[in-house]
Amino acid sequence: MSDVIISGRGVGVLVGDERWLFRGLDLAVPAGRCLALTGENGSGKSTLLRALYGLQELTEGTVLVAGHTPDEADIAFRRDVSVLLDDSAVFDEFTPGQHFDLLGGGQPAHELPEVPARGLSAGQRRRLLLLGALTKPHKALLLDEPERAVDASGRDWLKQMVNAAKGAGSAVVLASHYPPLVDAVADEVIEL
Amino acid sequence: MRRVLARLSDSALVVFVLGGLLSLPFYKADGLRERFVGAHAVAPGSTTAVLLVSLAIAVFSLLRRNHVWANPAQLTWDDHGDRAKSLRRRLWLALLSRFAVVGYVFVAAGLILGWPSDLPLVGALIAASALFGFRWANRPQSWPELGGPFLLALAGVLFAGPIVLWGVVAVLTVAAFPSGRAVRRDVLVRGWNARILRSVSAAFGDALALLPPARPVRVRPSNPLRFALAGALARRSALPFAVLVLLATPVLRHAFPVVGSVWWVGLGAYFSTVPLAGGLAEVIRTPGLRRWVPTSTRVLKLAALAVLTVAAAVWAATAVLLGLSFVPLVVPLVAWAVVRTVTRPDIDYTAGVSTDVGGVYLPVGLVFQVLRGPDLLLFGLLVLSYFHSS
Repeated sequence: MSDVIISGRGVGVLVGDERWLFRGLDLAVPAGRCLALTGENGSGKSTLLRALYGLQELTEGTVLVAGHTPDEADIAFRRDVSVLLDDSAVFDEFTPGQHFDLLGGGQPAHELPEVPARGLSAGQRRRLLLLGALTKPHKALLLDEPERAVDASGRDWLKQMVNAAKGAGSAVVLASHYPPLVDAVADEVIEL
Repeated sequence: MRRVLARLSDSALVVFVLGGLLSLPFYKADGLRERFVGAHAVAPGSTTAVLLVSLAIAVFSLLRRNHVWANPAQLTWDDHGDRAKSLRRRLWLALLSRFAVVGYVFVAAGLILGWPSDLPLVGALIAASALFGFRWANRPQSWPELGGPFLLALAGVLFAGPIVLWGVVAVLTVAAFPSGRAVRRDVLVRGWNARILRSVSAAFGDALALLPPARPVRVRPSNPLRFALAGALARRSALPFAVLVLLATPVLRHAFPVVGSVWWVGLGAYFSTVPLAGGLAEVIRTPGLRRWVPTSTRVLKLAALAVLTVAAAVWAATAVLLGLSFVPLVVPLVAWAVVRTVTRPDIDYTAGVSTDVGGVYLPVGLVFQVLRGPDLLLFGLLVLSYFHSS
């Protein structure tokens, strides 16, 4: 399919000498679709997302994201892929508005207070990170447990935002432990 | 004896070498005078000026309040005793260690540059500074406290006479009157976190982790240049340190005239501007922050270079007003060295194999990585000092 944004063939990651986190995995996420990764803690969801962003070497197989072999050091790759990973962070000294200035994609509608990020609660900081990932222009969107630290209304908002990203043509891969989110946004689910 | 010698390790050798160097003023004062003062006449009051600057640095260092910390676990499970008691004990230790260094600097300067005639005044200055530092370090942080170290350094820059210096003693003594205040739990925990950061940084030779944290700024970082400007302004807490270095530099230049202005201005501007590049260091080192800035690293470096050049130029121009000569090329050199310093790749500890260098084992691989940035500065200053003196 020509509009496949995220693809993988025979993907596998070996941990240690003999434990395969996953193996022989085939992926194909077209534009405007969402693949959800589910499974227990330690099953490899985050590892697969990291591999799709070029932070984790594959033991077997190949992946292509937005036409690139994943390499987060490559600026052209970073321009096409937006992520929310475990290591995502905010500038403590910048307000939400200043963060969006950095991304250059305009100011999204939000209800976060315009104070330096150090003054935001854990849930608000998480929302800021999510808004950052969703606001940045992208072709592929990788989200690692986006529901973490977000309250009930935030989780509803999250569903709408992911669906809006799909509507705008993003290919989304998200890892989640929250079935209602998976049900609301996923077109395909891989249980790891 | 053989058993004692067998216990001597490489670190003991380093201590011996350092001890030997530090004891040079006690038996090689004439040689040191020739090397650092040369044929120039020793400026009157030089030793007192050096003492004033070292007192300023000691008091400034005390006011960083590195003694204020408490283990959060202890605060949670064992917070029944008197917190102030252990803080006071640490403060005494901090005071004594810093003023021991001041004492050494004063004696060394006295041996090399000559002793001041008014020793009671020297004693009064040391006592008043210690009192001021002790009392203010025992209170919550506030801007007025910087008046103490700045007053001392300014008196040094002006090579102030005895009447003014007795005035400084009086001001410091009177200003020391406000009594201490109890420290809150959040300040103790913040101090603990800073202490952990310092120990980790020292253990891994990673000085960049000690760059000052950012404070909120109003600048909208909508392009790389504005981002670099915001990063510098957010670290304005480093300005007092830059001012102190600025005031110390002309004193050292006058006291040790053989060392050229190029060196003093270059080193002073470097240490004053490095903290302002903390924003660039942060995005280079933290992938999660780097993703917020969709610009190439090259452009980020160039933007930081522009902002740091302006900062270094302002610093150097002020140093000129204080009597140092201006060497224009020092400014871009400093900015470039700072950018090179803060954008060095993460240290590769596998390259830390020790090599025998003249009897001392050094982790040469690590040293090379840590010196990325200062190497450019020192080499550039060496070249500039050659052309500037010839």
